Amino acid sequence: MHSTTRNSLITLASVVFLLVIWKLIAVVIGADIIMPAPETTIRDFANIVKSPGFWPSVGATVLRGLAGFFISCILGLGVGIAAGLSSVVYWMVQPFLTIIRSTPVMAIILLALIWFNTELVPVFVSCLMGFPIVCGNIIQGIKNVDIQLVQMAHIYQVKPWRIVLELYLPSLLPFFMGGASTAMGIIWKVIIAAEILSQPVLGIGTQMQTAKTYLETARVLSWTIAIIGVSFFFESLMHALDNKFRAWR
Amino acid sequence: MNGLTGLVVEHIFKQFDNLPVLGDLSLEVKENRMACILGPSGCGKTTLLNIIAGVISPDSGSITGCQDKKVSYLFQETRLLKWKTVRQNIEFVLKDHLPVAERRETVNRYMEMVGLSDFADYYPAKLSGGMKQRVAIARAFAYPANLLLMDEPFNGLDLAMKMSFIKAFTDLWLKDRRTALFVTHNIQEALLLGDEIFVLSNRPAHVKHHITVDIPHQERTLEHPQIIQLENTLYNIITTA
Repeated sequence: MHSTTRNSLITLASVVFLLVIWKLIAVVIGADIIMPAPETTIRDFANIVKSPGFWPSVGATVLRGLAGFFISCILGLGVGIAAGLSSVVYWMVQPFLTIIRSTPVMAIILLALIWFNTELVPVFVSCLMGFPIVCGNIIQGIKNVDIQLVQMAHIYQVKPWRIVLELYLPSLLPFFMGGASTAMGIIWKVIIAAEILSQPVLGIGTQMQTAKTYLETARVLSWTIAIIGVSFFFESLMHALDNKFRAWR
Repeated sequence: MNGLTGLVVEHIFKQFDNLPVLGDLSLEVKENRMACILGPSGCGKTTLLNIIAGVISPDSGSITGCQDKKVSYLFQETRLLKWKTVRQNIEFVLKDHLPVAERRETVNRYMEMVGLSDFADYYPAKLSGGMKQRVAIARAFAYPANLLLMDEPFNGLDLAMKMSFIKAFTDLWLKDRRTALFVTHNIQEALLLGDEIFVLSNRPAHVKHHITVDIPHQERTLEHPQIIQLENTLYNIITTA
């Protein structure tokens, strides 16, 4: 059997297994309010997708996530390049990176709630989560640029801007893509946490919190499925981009 | 020496961390000649090439004849950009020096000379070690340099591949006879390629012997009686301190 077909079948079997376990637990507990059955959840999911509030909520969350993602990429790229090239900048940013990395997400969200309006909190938090990852990877990337190649380009009198564009940037790309993919994965997790606490008007997190308040467990799971879908979509997109950029491998 | 052409290296001294590497090294390479620097491993041959290429500066001494000249450098490693195809790798060093049409023609010509025309759009990862070496040679020759520097470019190749390279390399070089300086620790490579051979001493390196090889390049083989004789001479020079 073709190996990709085989792998798809294994994945499918695993999903079926998960649904069976889920169903079994739901039957044993016998209370929808604690553990709704898979079919109940899927029916509910179909309902919210059809409801008028679905796409605006998903859209608002996606926009915040992408805003946080792009800002952390730009900041990470800028600071990362500066820190990779200058040891002064490198040692200057280390404490900031360490503090941001070790502060619990909830602490950042609570502080953001105090400082910013509700719409901005998720963007700020996802920025702060994505930035150190992208920045760290870019620093690694700069340190990995092959000095022998740079020397070759200097001897052949290649213009500095061309060395940056055609030598440094392509060397950095895999590191940037690695950091951006990781950041993309984490951002969807923290953005929901931030939305649940900050309650912007529209957002998947807001919807989840509302559903939880009314003890609509199936609804909480439905919105969870929605954010898993969003996360999966963007991770696949990053993966496809990464493959496209690295045709030379 | 005939004035400003060629390359004159005079009384070069260089040390790293108080370790003298080059000590009063002088030599001259006449224009359109291939000179070979023969010396033991670690005696400072690469340092000398880097000083001539302007990558590092000597502690004292002077180099004349290569200022304002464009330099091609064939490294021990291929130093190809892995995200660029064969064609793009050669173009990379030409873009700032040749207009588009001439560049395209030059790249095509040199890819053909090293037998890689069919691989123009291949990335280095898809090429064998020998093919990558040929791309590096094509890049060095395609670049409009007046001076060609080579740092043991045939290292790590098996004998058959090395002999075919030396042949390909000689053919390329004979077409325009650029002033060339070639570093090796291999007596046979030196005799097959060099017009002049400078034998370096151990560290701190200086020229301890200089011979001229007058046999036309096309006639040189390892079986040539004069080459065998010179090989013995060089062997004796190198092994006697």
